[in-house]
Amino acid sequence: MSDPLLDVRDLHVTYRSSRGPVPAVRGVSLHVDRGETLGLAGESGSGKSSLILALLRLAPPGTKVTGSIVLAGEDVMTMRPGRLRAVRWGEAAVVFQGAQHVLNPVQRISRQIQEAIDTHRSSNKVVDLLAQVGIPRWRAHAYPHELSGGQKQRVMIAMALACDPELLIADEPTTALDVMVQAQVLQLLADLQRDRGLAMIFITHDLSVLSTVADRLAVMYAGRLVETGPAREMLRGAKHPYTKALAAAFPTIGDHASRLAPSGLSGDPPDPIAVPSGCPFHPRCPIATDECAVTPVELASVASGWEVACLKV
Amino acid sequence: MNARLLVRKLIDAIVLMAMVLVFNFFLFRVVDRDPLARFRGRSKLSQEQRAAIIKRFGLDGSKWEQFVRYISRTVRGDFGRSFDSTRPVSSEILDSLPNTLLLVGVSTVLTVAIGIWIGIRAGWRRGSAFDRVTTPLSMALYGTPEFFLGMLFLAFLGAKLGWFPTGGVLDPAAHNTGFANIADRARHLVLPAATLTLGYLGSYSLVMRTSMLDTLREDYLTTARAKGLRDRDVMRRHAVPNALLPSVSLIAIGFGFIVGGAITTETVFSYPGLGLATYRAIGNNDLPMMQALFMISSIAVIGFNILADLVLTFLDPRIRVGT
Amino acid sequence: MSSAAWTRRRASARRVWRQLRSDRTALVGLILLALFVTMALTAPLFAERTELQAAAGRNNPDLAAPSGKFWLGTDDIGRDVFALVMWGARVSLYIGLLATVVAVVIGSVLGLIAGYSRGWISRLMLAIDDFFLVLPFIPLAIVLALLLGRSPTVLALVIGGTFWAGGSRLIRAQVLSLRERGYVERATALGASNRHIIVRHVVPGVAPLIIANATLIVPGAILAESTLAFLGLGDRFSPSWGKVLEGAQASGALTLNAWWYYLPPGLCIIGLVLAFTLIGNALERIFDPRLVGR
Repeated sequence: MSDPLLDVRDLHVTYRSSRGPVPAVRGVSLHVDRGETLGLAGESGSGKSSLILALLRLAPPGTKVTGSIVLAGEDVMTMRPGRLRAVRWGEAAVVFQGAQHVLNPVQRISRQIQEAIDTHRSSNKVVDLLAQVGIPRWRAHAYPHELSGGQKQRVMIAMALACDPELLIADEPTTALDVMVQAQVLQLLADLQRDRGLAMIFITHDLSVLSTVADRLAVMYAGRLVETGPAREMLRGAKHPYTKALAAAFPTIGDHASRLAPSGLSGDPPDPIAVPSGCPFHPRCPIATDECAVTPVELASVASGWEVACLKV
Repeated sequence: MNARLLVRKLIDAIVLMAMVLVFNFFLFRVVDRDPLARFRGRSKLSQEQRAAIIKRFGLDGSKWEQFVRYISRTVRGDFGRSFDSTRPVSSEILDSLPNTLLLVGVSTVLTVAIGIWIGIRAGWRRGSAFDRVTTPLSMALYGTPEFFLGMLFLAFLGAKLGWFPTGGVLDPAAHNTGFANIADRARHLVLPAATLTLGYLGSYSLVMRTSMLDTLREDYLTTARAKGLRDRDVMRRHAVPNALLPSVSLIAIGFGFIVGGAITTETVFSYPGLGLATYRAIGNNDLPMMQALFMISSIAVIGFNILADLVLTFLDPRIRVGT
Repeated sequence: MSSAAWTRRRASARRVWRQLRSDRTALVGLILLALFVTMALTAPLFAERTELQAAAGRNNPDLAAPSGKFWLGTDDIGRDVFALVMWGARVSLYIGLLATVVAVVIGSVLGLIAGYSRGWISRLMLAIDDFFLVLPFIPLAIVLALLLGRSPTVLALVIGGTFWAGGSRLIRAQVLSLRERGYVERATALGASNRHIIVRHVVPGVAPLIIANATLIVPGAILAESTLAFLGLGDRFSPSWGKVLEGAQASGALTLNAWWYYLPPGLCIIGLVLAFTLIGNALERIFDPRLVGR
């Protein structure tokens, strides 16, 4: 397993908007090996969603994307449209947040899953896929509005697996669900991954969820990575103040100590158009000094496979 | 299809039509203070003349008696006699109805189909050359009274260039039969139909375009694209079915305007349909005629609306039992 | 209203005006509107009102082409078409605006009642609204005009009385959504009277929508008026543009190629309608309810 399944180098994603260009992703490099799960964490507005849309060139037209994205040895940026359409879903599939309107409201879910199967000439069957995610046969021809949030999320997962992809990109798959359903979906994803040897990118703003699921972790802030490294070690002892704050904000169920620790970051994540100078986190950072507002900061290695972007570390 | 829903819609339709009947009566018998004023002319009417007129046009008896008589007559298809020709109104209407059905039928189909197609294309490729040309044109067409359009067609394509006849439905001199008859009718239909079609094309395409633009923001389109579908398929299979939904009800309301537009268009082209009859009825103050024409147009529009409502229920799975 | 509230309203009105001016299509609309309003106001400078009378054209050639004397030629009874078009602006604008005011008032009041009340009143309003929405507008307006009279004011009332249904639906929806947002419940809990709630909370929430909607009703009213006038329901000696077109049609100007008689009034109608449509669309974009609630 020498080459990673997905290798992203220096990715920049800039949107076009009425207020001018919006740099949502400002130089992100990451990689995902076959069969491993990368957790991508950050608050809303950190650029996580823009990042994953860019991976399959799904950003809105007019968006400027630069950098290199190599999936299974192929360069996504220079792929011809026909190959891109085959790779989409065939090699890498996205599980969008099921609670939003990600399913066509006037089509039955069976038809929408079948559409993926037909487009890529997969041999899977709709009922089998639905069974694997725990949706009974009699629900197969339902319309999206007839399903609950948790069921819709599972339909999205089933649909994502329809063409046996190598990489599953899950964008906040548990965010809008209540805790019991969250646990079920997490378990489902873990089982599926183990059975199929899937690589996964798991995006969330809730670090406690990633503690059980991720092998490695990447934390994003204001369009950049501030810390990446092995998940277990990072969650036990994060180095970057932002990671620490994120971990504290979502207490792990069953861990009494974390419930008592003070949590909460003051302020809001910065507007991508007006990112603070130097280290973008300095206005909200508990250990920031004057130096932090002035000096730009890069990711630096602190241990094997562990990088942090902080002057104070 | 839900049978219970269908029955409910039909009951709604019947109730609406009944309301139109009552409203019609209210307009013509209650709002109209002095129906006899139209007959007075210069001299005063004698007692016998008054009584005869009152009897003939059903103005005798109390309001309630008039109402009952009106209902029973209308249901039997008796709309009284035209003030102008004194023929039964129902005969006049039956003479003109087929021509209008042809004109309005052809125009509605064309304007809805073409308008929707343009709107979809302009909305899907916003800012493209197609959009930048068709959208201002649609706006200009929307602001153009359809009869003005008709006048321009008549003046330039009809009178000046002589490509099409300038009026009527058939050439009275040539007694065409069979295929020649159909061809002649078709020639006479071109300009009026073009007028009515273009007159409303603008509003339909703009409505569809707006609907399309709203749909473009939806997340399920990103899902469709992520699945590896071609752009064309994303549009056809996911965007269009959803964008059509709000348009259907607006199309139905638009039909009410097409019906109104048929009146002026037939007038411009002297096309002998219900529209021209309306124009004549206005000129002659022919109230029984006007009353019947109003009822017919109301029922036609209501019928079309009910139809559109049913189509919507069929297209949108979220509406099943209804609120 | 308190002075603080007034200052706020004036400031937001100025903001809206600035946004409107920067929108290119709205600018075109505003220029067109200014053009027609000028036309209406300066009509007396170009022609006496008496030139619209039947007798005025007695000594003039009928259906004469444009010349130095008659900039837009003469109509079928010798009247100066330029005068007709200039004065026509007044009639068209007057009827269009008055009809819109009537439609908006009726629609807003009924919409407010329908949205604010509960129970059978609300359902009754909905039924009435549905009914008027489904009736074909032009035939209804024709019938009312036949029965009630043909003066410009009556026509404006008739048009307003048939066009209110669309707006009332929008108002009702907005009132309902405002109710959902809790302002009303909170105010009621604090003991505010219904009238206070309506004036202080509901009306400001609905006002932008009413304005944007009204600007889009004007085009419909102008087109409706021109249609009614064309069918013979207008005043021959205080003619709107639609009435001038009727004269052109009836006198055979079409087949006689007297383009000066029918082109100018038709183009003016298109221009005025476009003006209001462009402005109305821009206002709708500015007042987009999806952005309201900042």
